[in-house]
Amino acid sequence: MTIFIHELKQNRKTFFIWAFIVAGMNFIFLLIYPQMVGEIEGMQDMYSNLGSFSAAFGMNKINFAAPMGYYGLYDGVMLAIGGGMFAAVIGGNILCKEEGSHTAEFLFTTPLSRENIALQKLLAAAVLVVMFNIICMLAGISGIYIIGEEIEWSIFLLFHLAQVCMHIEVCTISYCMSAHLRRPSMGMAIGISLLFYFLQMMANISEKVEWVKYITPYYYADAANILPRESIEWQLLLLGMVYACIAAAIGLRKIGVKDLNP
Amino acid sequence: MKAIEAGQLTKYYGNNRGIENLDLSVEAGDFFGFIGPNGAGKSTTIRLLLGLLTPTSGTGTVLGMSCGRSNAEILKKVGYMPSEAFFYEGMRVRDIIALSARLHKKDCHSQAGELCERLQIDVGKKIEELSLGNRKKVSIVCAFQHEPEVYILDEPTSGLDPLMQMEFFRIMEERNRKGATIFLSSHVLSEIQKYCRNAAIIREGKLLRVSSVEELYRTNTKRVQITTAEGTKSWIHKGYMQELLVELSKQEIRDITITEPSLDEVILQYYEQ
Repeated sequence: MTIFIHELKQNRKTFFIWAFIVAGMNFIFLLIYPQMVGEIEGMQDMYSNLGSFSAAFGMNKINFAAPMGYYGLYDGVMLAIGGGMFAAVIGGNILCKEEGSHTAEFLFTTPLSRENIALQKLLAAAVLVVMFNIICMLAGISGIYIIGEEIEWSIFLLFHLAQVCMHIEVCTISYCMSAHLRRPSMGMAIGISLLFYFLQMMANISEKVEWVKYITPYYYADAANILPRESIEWQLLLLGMVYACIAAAIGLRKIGVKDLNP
Repeated sequence: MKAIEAGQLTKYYGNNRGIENLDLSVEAGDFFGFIGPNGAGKSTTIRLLLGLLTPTSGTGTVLGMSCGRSNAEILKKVGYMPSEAFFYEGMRVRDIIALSARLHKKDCHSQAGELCERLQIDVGKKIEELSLGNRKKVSIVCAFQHEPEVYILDEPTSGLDPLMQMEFFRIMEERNRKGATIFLSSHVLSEIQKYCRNAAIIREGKLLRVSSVEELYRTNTKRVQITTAEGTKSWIHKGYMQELLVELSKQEIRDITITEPSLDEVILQYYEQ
């Protein structure tokens, strides 16, 4: 597991920066809830009746004056955008950075098969994503505790489970792209994440494109689709995990056969 | 046993030629030079042997194991030095050396310590603080510390100062005396001449000649220098001595020197053909 540990160390700066920012923002959003709840209650009806705007962000489905609804909406956006980008950046760079920074000649001439190296890197990416989510969850728990509200544990944990799965899916799809690239591309990684996010917004707005929910992981991880029914659309989550496995397999296969040009 | 074998090894990058129908054989325990101009295909050949590239056709084996299929097994027994050494930024030299040893699943502590001392490496420095030459030294330690059976070295002395070059070749010769095979790609023909027993010349993807360095050196060429009324001129004469004598007889020669050409001059003829 030498490469696995090496990758955890190599990505620690990126990990701590993103985790600090996203978890920090989540924590701050919660701290201002007591000041905002009065205003939100007054504007709840208005915000949930803004047509497509409300639908896009799920404001027509959630009671975001309630603590869990507020958490799902505000912190959910941070987890979706910030967490999704982090997962995409980690997965999208972890393979191609070796050719990009010319370390491929060092790494791939050691007595480990390419598939072994690539698998350890994938596991490291997955662990970083899970650890990121744990930190964000702890920030959420701390924030809710500090403002004196009760945590609805079943919904809270379901919501975060969906976030983890969504991030894993984004990470593996970016990992698959990384196997095909020769240089890291921050733009590609962030683009994938944002594309999926906007597809989810489209699915929320229009029934005509609701079919994209079968493509974007943000749909099953959206608070508007979890909190009202107090459950996850498990078939969509499982489909997402199938996509993740396929993407991982394609990525592993590609790195096993491609020419490595340092 | 053959340490390295290539049979009709061919690599195209799309429509661009890498190497074509390369047949090469390096005996175990040999000190073998691989010579060619820029873009000849030396690095392509090395990368094919190490499994970094997939051949378009042909075969390559290292220690009897097929390149590509048995990469992990081959790489356990190979020490590789790329022409340009890059490592992970943010890590210190000692960390890179330790990482390389862990990847080879060997305790190389004493060998690494000895090599670092001989090559005067500061193991506490960060990789990004190292010059090209010092990165090369780290690359030497990574390639040598696990004491492989085969050393594949791509322009190993570029960037090293003369003292370190001497020390490097001392280490090479010690390893070769213990039975290791050295496969050395180099532009520095004096190194090939001094240390290698056999050599191959590659140009434009094709192998021009494989022979002992002694044979390469012993050719029907002479360095001729004459002094006439117009001054001194010097050239390489290839071919029959009778033709040289006829040519010389046409000139009013005040002084003449005829010597063996250096290996550089011998090889350069292959470059210029």
